Amino acid sequence: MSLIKVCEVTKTYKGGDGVVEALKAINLEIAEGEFLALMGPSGSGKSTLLSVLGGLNPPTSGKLIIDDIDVYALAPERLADFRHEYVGFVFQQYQLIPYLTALENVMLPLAITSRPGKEQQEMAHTVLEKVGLGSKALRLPNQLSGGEQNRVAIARAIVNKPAIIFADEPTGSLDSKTATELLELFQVLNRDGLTIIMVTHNKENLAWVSRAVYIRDGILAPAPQES
Amino acid sequence: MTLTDIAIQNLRRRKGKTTFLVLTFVLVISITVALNTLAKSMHDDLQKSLTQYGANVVITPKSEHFTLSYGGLSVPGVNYEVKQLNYDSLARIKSNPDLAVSGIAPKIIGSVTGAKKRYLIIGVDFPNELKMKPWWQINGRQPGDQEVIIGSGIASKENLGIGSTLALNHQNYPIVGIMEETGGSEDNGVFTNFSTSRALTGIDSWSMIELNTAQPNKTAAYLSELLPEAKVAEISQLVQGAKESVDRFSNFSLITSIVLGVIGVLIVFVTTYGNINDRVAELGILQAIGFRRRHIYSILIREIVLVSLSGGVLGYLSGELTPILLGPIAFQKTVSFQFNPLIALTAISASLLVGIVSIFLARRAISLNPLEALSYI
Repeated sequence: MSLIKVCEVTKTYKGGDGVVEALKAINLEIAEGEFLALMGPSGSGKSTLLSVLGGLNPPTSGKLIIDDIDVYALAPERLADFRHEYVGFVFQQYQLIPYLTALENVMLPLAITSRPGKEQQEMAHTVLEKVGLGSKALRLPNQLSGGEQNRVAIARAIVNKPAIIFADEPTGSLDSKTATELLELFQVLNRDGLTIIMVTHNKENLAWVSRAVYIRDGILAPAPQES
Repeated sequence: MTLTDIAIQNLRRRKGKTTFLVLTFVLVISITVALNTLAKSMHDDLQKSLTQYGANVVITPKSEHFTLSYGGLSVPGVNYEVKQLNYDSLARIKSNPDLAVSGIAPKIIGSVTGAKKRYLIIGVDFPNELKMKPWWQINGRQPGDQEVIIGSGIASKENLGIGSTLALNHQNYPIVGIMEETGGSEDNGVFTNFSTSRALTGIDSWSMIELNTAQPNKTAAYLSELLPEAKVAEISQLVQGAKESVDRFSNFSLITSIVLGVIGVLIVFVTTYGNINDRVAELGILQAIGFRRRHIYSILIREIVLVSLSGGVLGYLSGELTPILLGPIAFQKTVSFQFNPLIALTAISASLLVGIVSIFLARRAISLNPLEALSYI
């Protein structure tokens, strides 16, 4: 059964050279529990599609249905609630809040819930342990390596038990060993039932995903032929 | 973790910016409160002096004054043709029913040689004098003939008390009372009745007559004609110079407060605007993970409330304490700490208002959608 349905989604931007069509009538279905890679060259529209899927970027036309909810028909405040409940993001540059410790960064999504502080701390500690950073919970982001910051970002994305994780080039700035560890972690989370959608341009990452979708010039395209 | 925790952590980790903002609030509020406290204190003192004077018209002997001038610079000159206020002038005042005099207190004032120094002798009619000066508190009793009361300054300096004697003109006078400290020239005076003061000083006329009347203006004008040998002054005229100085200081305080306030508001607006713009990406992250816009406003308002509230309270306290410390040095004036709820409330509310308004000036940055905000990375 499809968790995500993308129906005729188009996204245009007004640029210096006139209107740019970043996405052209995209149709896509993603099942619950998939580990999907969005692939394509730079400027193909894969990050735009990810932001549309994540409820961050309203399409110019078309619909996004997640769990039978017409996402962009929601009022802005309800859309924020939707992101809080359904979605976790892992950004390319991790995007941790610099003045909060790793533990506090992970607790951020819980700050707007009614959960008591102790329960929040326990939940955050649990996910930090899961990503292997239990011992570094009280460090600030600038006291962590890139790979560790990425793990904190993943912990923050999953602490609220969302249905879907969106990751934008999560291995882009990591060395191959750390990238492998990260993908292993994603695979563990996917086996636990999380749907993961990851933008990547690295073909080696395909070994870890259940499906890959290619996008070129704003349209879904068949997988490129190996030369 | 709560929204307040996020606000506090941000302030803690951005110590430099937080301190700068708090100091801006402290300085502006502190200087404004200090100036206004000083102005109010000066005004209150003047008002207190006016209401404390039992007398509102003072009659002294008229004299001509010759001012010495050296190249345009005037120096104290000499009095000549000093007239006398004869004893019958008192009768002339008392016998006139149109003056509506409710209190009259003549005095004989002179100086007399004591054992080691000269003393100021003030001869008064105690029952009338005490009606005019209710703040004169005498320990002991009122003096009869050949008896004196001394001011608290003389008593403490010369270690004299009730039962001691004071040598005046080579004769010992029993001390029958001590006047409590008034902070005025009375503290160093020797008080006695008219006959004793006349005998001691050899003065055979009034040195001064104080009046309390319902119409000081009209009375002073009438007495000037009735007593050509006297100089008649209203006390409100005597303090006119002081009143003008206090008014000028109040105006200076007001203008300085307004200018400082405007500068302070601009600094807070620009700093807060810059701080929020620096954090656009961070606000985008919060929106991406599901924070509503009102959650973000709530964090920013908590931050600025903490800063402006602490700045307002510290500024108010420092503004009240500064005059206490600097008053005696800069204005030769003692100011006591007085909690003024209206000034405190105004200072703290103004800080809070400026802080909160500054958040809304940066609403464009807060209103960006998450993707736009994240693009600031």
